[in-house]
Amino acid sequence: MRELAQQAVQAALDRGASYADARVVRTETQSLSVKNATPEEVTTSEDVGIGVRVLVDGSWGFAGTARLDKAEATHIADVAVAIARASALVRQRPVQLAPVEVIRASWRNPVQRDPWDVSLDEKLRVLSAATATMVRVKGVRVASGSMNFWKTTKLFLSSEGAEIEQVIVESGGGIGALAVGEGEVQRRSYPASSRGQFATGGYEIVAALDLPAHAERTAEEAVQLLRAPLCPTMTTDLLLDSDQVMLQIHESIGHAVEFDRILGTEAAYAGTSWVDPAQIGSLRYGSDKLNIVSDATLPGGLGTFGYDDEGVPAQRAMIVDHGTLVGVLTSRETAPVLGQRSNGTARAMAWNRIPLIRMTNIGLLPGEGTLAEMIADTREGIYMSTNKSWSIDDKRLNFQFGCEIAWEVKGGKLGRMFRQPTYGGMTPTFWGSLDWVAGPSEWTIRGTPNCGKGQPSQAGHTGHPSAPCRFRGVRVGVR
Amino acid sequence: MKSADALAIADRALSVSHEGETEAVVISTVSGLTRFADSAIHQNVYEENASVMVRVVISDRVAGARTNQVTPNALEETVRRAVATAKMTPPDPDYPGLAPPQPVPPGGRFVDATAEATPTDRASRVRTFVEATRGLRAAGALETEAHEIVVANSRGVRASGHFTLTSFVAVVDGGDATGYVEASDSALDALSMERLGERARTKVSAGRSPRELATGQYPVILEPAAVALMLNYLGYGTLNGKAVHEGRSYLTGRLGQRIIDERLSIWDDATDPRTVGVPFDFEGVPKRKLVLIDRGVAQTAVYDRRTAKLAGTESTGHALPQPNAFGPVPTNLFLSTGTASAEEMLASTDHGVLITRFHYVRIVDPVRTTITGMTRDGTFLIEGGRIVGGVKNLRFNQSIVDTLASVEAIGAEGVLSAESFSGASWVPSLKVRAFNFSSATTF
Repeated sequence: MRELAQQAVQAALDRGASYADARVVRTETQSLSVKNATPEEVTTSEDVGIGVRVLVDGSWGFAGTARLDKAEATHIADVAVAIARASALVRQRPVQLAPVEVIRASWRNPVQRDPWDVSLDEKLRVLSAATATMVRVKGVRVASGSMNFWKTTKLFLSSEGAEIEQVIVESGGGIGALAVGEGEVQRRSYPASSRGQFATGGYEIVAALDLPAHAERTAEEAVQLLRAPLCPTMTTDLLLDSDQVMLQIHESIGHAVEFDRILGTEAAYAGTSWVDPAQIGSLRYGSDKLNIVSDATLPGGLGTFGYDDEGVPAQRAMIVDHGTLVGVLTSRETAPVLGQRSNGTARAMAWNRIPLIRMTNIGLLPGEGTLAEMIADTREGIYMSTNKSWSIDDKRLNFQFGCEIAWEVKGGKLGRMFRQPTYGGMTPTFWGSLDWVAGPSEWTIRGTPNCGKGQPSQAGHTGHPSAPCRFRGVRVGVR
Repeated sequence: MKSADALAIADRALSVSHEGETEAVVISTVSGLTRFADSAIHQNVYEENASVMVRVVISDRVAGARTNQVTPNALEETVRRAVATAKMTPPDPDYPGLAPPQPVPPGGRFVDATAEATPTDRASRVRTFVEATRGLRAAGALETEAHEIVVANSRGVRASGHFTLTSFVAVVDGGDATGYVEASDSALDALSMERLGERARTKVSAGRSPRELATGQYPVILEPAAVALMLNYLGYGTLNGKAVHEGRSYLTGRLGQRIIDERLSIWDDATDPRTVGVPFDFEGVPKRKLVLIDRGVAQTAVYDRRTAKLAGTESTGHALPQPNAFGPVPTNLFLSTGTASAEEMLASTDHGVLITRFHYVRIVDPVRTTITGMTRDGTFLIEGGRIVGGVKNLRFNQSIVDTLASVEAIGAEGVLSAESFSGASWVPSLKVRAFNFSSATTF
């Protein structure tokens, strides 16, 4: 593979590229879904190919192929150079790349139990046990459980001399119960919706979730929701569990601080950002309690790696410091606009996609105390858990989220359960109302493997350090 | 890759499988995408890829294995992996068996010029579009794709087809207003970049100095891009036979009932030359015109073989690649056209909102088909039968079924929209009596 990558890079240089890099990426996956104790999907896959990215006269070209032979490596270098020359037909200014330390290294994340060494039987038994428990609960129509595993091996070579090999193993899973009755359909999930919780690491990630132990409570709550009253419409204090805070960070902070979005390069698809580059260092993003870090070096995060797909080392960068925006996520192409070097967030989904700025592990620094103390301190409010729906405008300002479940908070205690809880607001106002972030004992790194961005679309894997939070005076029950 | 080559790959995969039943799906893709922002090409990519999906069934034990390598060794290894996995998987009592061979109707429009489009072909069209926007900031993407699809199985199915797709989207930014255009066709040459540029520019001009609009219910005119997205959500979550069977669809218990305006019918038809795709599904079951809602009355959902068995019916030819936990999806939806012109819809609106497109739509309540999302890139206030200016974008919470039940006027012209997440839709504009805006944003 090294020879193929070298050949592609050299071929691109020979044809006039001023810069070229090649990535050979092999991704193995295993996807398991069980419904009502019966397997619905048991699939393994492998995806291998080479992608070549070139700069010719300051314009980009990229080509990728699944065929791994020397002739093809040369051919796609040819194609990439021809594409770059076509790009120059509609150009404003030549691309300038921020300088980078030339690195020759290898990196792999720690894995205690390689998912490929764990028998299918063991995995399916866990999912069958959990779904069998859930479907036994009266009122549950569908009990589902799933696990997903990825093993990605990638080699990055650049014309500047970089040569980096990485092996990244990711694992995750979850369960859900769908209750039907009373003219309602309600779902509860554990430990999160959208197929569960994901992290870098091996089968130990899934084993630690102990899915069967949480099956009964998950199912019972789904059934209880059928008869729960609708979440009232009002303005009140809102307490969010870490699994919902995670998505709130992802949508209203993470995407908004991607510098490519800020510069407008995603304008026609996912949108831009309310952040003005001139305000970095002064923009009030939230209250003093808001401290956001982007940290690709955090052990176990789904956005953890050794080097990004431009060969830049994983880094920790402060994004919001006590409520003030102090940094953004950058790449080699965008960082020079700020007079900076890349902070290492350019990642590609696979060999056939170009690196884009992607969230790494972006999330909260821990505060203090616990959710229980937060509830005890709240005279009147609503506590919501587990994301159900999510939507935000194309500048990442107006948002509306729905959760699977909520409870009334009255006099410092949890009260009635509510179904269909939703809340909405505007990003700076909402984060400005943050008055409590729970402490280290409830701080956790959540992960999602489904972050969409780019054309052609790419699904990114992102991590989100998160903790239960309290927000004052939020509109809930929006509809 | 030619059809014959894709068939040979599928046959090769079947020939090395010696246990149980085997299905092989081959998808070969060549695509080029030219993306621009700030009126300059900033990303420009090309890809050649193939995917071989093997499903092996041994005594009702089902497993799938995929690879994008088509060498004999890779195919053999993939089949071996599927066989080994199937043997370790518990039996699926709902396994329906592989599809039997059935005649596949003609369909799948393949335009050589699209398949062979060069980077310069795409870049020159982007340049034409950018020039037509006359100095506004333009961002978008022009993509040309060619797909070969083969489904073969050990029961004798050999379905093959191909199609091309050109898709273009753009947002043009005038500072205080943006305008969206999209176009899709099998043929690259069917797109008029100049007209698209002019249309985007017109939207920006009409939307200058957007005003705030109080939240509440308004009559709306939904342009085709907005209608298509709603229809896609209906197909994905409501017309999905698995969702109906599990009781989480609005359609559950409502078949035979009138659920939307009687002037509207919804059907799926991959054989219609106005759409894109192949006339069979990923189990090799032929696709034919399937009326889902006939003059407002719910007729059926779509099914793959597994959900059809569970529901006691036949597959309608809407399987996704198997095994699959999501269920079947209609990928070539049509919404019936009416008689109203765009001008007539405007002229008949005393006070309302015209919506070009939606953004970030998500399902809030699947049983009631309630979705939320934002308007984007062309939201206009209508007063006295004409557009009087832009409005700042609005969030809506709205039932899709209620929307289609409260239609006042139906556009006379249909448009293909292939920008949604689950296939292509052919839809007209709609004028709707009441649309619920729950909040607004600042732009």
